[in-house]
Amino acid sequence: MDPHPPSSTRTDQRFSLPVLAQVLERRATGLAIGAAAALHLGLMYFELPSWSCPVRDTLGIPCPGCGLSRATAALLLGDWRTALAQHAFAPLLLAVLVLLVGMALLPEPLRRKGVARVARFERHTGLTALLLVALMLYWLVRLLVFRSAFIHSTLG
Amino acid sequence: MGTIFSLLGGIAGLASFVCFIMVLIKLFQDKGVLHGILGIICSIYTFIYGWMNVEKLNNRNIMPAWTAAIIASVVFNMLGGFLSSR
Repeated sequence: MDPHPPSSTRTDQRFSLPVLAQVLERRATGLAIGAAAALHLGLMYFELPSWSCPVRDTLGIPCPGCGLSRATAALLLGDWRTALAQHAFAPLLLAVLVLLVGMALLPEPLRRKGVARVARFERHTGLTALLLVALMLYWLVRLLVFRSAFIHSTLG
Repeated sequence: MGTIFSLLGGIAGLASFVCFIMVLIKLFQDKGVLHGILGIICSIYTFIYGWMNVEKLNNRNIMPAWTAAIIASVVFNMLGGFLSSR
């Protein structure tokens, strides 16, 4: 086998990396992320201080994930319109959170099978990588084209 | 007094940002570009990743400092807001 594959092959390999499956690999990670998300959304719901974006707080520029928490909270309250206006990727985040917590709560053999399936799916489709790139592009468009509306929507 | 607390909150926020960047760099180096992007999008993921790999990545100084900076930032900003509104 060629020890130095061409750069196009390396890019393909990078894009077919099972990112989500790697996060799902450890049960504790899923539980920790689920607990942190629940705590964060709960504090936000009661208008108490919670996790804030270090990028936006320091640089004044919203990060690609800014607005996702508020959008997810709106989605949980059934307010689709507000959720999608805040961040178009909120339904996806909610689905990933459900998957993370759901998988973390499964018995070990089932969980192993599930992680393997997710990894296979990611390797075949490269969907996670594509979505992450799409999210970065979505952020760039919002930041460059709809700058003031974007910044205004992410302020507390 | 409120201004002083707000200023302290800002300093703690800056320290939190520095710690975030340090852990994010380690995330990029350890897990690759895609996990790094995930870490930028979701700083909570970076925080959890930092604590879960505290020994592996030699984060024993950064993670307690980041946690303390987050708590200090929240407390100082709350006090600053409360005292300024009085």
